[in-house]
Amino acid sequence: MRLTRRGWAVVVVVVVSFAMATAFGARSLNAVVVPAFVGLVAAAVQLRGVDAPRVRREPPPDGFPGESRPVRLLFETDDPFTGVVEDRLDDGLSASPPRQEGTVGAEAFAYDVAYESRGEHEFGPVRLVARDVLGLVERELTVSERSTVLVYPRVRELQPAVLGDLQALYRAERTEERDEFDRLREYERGDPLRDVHWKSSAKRDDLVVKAFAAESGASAVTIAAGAGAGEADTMAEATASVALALLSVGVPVAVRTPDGAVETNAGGERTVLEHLARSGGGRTPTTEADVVVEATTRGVRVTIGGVEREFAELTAGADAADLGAAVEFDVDGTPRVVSRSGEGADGARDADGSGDDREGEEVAA
Amino acid sequence: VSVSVGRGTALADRLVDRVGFDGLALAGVLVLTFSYTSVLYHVTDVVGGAALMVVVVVGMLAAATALSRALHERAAAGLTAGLLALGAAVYFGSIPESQLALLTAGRLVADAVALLTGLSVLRLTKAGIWALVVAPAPVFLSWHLALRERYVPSVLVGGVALGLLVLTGDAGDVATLVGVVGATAAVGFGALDAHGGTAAQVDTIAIVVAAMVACSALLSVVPAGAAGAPLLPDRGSPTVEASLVNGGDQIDVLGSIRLSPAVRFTVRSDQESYWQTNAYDRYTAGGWSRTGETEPYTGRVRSPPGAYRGVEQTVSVETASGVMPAAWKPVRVSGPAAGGALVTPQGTIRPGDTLELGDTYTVESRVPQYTSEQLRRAGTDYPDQVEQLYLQLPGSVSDRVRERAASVAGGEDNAYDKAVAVENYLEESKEYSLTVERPDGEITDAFLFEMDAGYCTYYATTMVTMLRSEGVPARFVTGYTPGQEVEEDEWVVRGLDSHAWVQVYFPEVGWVNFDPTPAGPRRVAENARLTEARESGRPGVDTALSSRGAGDGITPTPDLEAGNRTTPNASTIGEDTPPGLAGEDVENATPAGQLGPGNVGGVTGQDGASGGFELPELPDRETLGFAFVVLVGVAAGARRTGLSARAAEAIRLRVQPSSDDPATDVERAYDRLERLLAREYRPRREGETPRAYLRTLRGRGLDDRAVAVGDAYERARYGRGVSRTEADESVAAVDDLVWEATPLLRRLRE
Repeated sequence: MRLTRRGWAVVVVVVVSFAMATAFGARSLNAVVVPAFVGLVAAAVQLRGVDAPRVRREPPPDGFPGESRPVRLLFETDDPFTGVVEDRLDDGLSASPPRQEGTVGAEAFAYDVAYESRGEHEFGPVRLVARDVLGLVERELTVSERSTVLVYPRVRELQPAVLGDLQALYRAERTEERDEFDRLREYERGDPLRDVHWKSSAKRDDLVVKAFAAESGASAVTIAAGAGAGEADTMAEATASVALALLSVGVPVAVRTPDGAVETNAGGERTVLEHLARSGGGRTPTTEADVVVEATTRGVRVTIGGVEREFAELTAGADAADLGAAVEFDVDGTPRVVSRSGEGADGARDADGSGDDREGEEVAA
Repeated sequence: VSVSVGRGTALADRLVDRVGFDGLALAGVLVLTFSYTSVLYHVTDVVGGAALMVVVVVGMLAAATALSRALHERAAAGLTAGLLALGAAVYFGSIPESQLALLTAGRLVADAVALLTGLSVLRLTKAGIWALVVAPAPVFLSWHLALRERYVPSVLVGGVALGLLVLTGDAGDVATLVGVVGATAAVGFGALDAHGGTAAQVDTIAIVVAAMVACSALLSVVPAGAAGAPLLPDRGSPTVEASLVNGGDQIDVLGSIRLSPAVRFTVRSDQESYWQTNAYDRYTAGGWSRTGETEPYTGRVRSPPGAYRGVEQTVSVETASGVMPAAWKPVRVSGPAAGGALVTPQGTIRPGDTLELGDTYTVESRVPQYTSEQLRRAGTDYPDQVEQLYLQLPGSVSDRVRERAASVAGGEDNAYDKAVAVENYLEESKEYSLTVERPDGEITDAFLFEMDAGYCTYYATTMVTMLRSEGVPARFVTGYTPGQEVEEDEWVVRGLDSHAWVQVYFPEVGWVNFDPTPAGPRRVAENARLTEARESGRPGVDTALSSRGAGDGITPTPDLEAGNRTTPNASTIGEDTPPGLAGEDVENATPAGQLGPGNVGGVTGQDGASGGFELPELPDRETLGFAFVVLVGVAAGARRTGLSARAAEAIRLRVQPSSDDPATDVERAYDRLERLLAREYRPRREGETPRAYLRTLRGRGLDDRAVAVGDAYERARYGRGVSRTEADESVAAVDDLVWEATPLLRRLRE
């Protein structure tokens, strides 16, 4: 419990009044000193009775750096009080406004959190500064209510030629490894014409292709990534950009980072992003990969099919679009990369949005 | 009571809803504004300009309202600074050239210090103009800020204004408390307005305010009656003069007082006289104030305009003192203690430093000589300055006072006869008593129409007011009656000889003493006090000479006025009335035995007004406000602690209004039963029928009578109806069940 600036002012008034009364006569100073004193005592009594309220945070969804999301703090207490609320945030998150004054327990506190850097970030504990009704005395309360949010790495749009290289990588691999027929699936951009199942396509007004077992397994494009000290962010950025570019055209990817591995089909962007959001730096786990990303202080080098290039050269020009901003979230929170061309978006949506249902349909057919 | 409390707070809630927190905060700022403007209004009411003050305050509120949106706070602060500068220009413009020439920065600082250490605004020569130029700035700025929802800065501005008036001593306890309550409400509700508050927080504010009011009324924590006096520029350093104000007195009329028997002075004089110490020009409705600056005594003081007789007095100080008693009119002062003596614009003298025991000084006075015929012929050709200063009356002097003055003295055609008529009237119509309750408001009106008795201050104040209302320049004078003549030409003057009387101005003659206080009863009171003090062996009551005549107290002395004038009414105050016996002294107002300049004549300096830890007596209107605030606080407290809700519930459970319709009675009885069962077992669930509810509870030991009431309820509601008898039975059954469930009764039964 401590005095606020206003409280100190009142204390000064009391002291000066008392001194003036002593030195130069009481006058009506009693009517100043006594109420001021009562106000201070009442303030202390009010704050003694304040219990830390229960807090519930409505945490925001995961997102990309540069995004801003609303957060709500809901307080529950029998005895609402005026106070300042501040949600403590990890580095990499910032709140606006950082602290707010209001009636704790009577209203929800809302603020916008800005995602500043990649990583797993924590909210909380909630710091409360309770004040008496006159704002003379305040008391600090800390309520531990923690929640976390993942901030994904930035995703940059790759040059169409690079995307073509990547696709070629996959096609080559798949062509080599065609073996067992697995199922029928919807046509995706980049599927070779010879895979089209014309019979089925004729029945539906849509192209249907034959899928082979290898497609959803070992034949995924493998991406291995590593980074020197402090370069994990750029590593994650390059890796995510490559992986999402592949996924956006329906190519399954397997990502290996120093922290672990993740493998997914189209529609699994979120899995990749979540993994890369948490990834730290370290030695590249393997060089036996289709794509190798190595981030050093000198830059990020990406090896695609044995050709090593600067990541900066791969992105779509100097003003490479920050795809993160072009990622939308479906109702269920799944990120969906919307590329500039729009085609990729369609493909991606089709790929992830209705894959399962379609599959069921086909099997039934 | 509890129900009405519940209703009262519900009403308060509706009020809060309707007015809103911002409305309440604004009301708080208005109350604060009212508190300090009312003090300033009082100043103008005393010295003139009250109507202008109302115009200024209302105008500033209107201007602030009109500009509240257009004007930014910064611009408003600039405008306020402009108002203050303009005010200063107007104020200094109103000061005479001669005084303005003396103005220096040092003097301004000294004046400010004097005001802040307790120099009343009413002591300023241009008090009315001061009040009028000070008022606009805080009113404008605080209201402007309040309307822009900047409540704390607004309260700060208003608080500074009120604080200034508290420090000058002009704001009374009640005005101060009202202002503090307004400030508290503005800050509290302002915060709720900003963030949206809860009913509980409103209650908390109400409780805090009520506690503030109650504690302020009941507790006195600041050292009351401490040796406090304003830091006057001339105090202790007579050569440093104040430019605008100066050392003088302000006196408040008090309630009951005591007489101090301690010896103050010994006077050797070739003529008996009233020993005058002070004269006051400004009547403040509740007391007297002396305006103008004192000047160092430079060897000569103006003589009275007419004939005079020289009287030389040698005064020995017996108790440390801040006054220099002398017969009117002192013109020359000498002796060891005369160094640094000061002369007031009223013509009295005072020491530069406190006179210590054993100090002596010699005064040469020129006592005006006149006959009553001379006074009758004196006419009304008063000097301008006399007319300006000594006809002043506060606006609060009522019409009936003026009418009474007219009926008493209006028939006389000259100032002297008017004065004598008023003097006689007061002596005859009022009793002398030291035990009186200090009236509220204007003293004259109260003394003339509400009080039967009073002492010299009341008599003298009333006489001056009546004469002024009749156009006769008069003033209030304090000092000592001659005292006990212990030897040829030697008088012992005690505290109880202090007195207040009246001086009336006559052209070509000067100031002439009149004493409206009946001397007979005064002497009795004094004698009794002196005898008591002597018997109790109190020290300082007698000098070597004065104790010789201790047996019969005080020796009668000849008529004060015998040597000065021969008046038709001399017999009423002279002859059988030794004039040396009038007066009283306030014991508790003279700390450490020191006689302050304001402590004579049943009046006291402003700083000695309240004594000790006594409960202040709140006047009626204030008592009502006090009770209201405390009641609201108590109601809020009851609600805050849930007391009123519990009380209301208890009453709803026990009290059932009866009706003519048996069905209604049964329904009400059943309603009470459900309340009881909800408390004892559980509330009826939603969708549960009363029958099912009661049946379930029966399994848990519910009384059969309750089930019967439930049956009656069903019949009344859905069945064939109920008879009167059945209804009464149901009500009685519920009554029984409720009383049995009352813990105390149940315990008694077991």
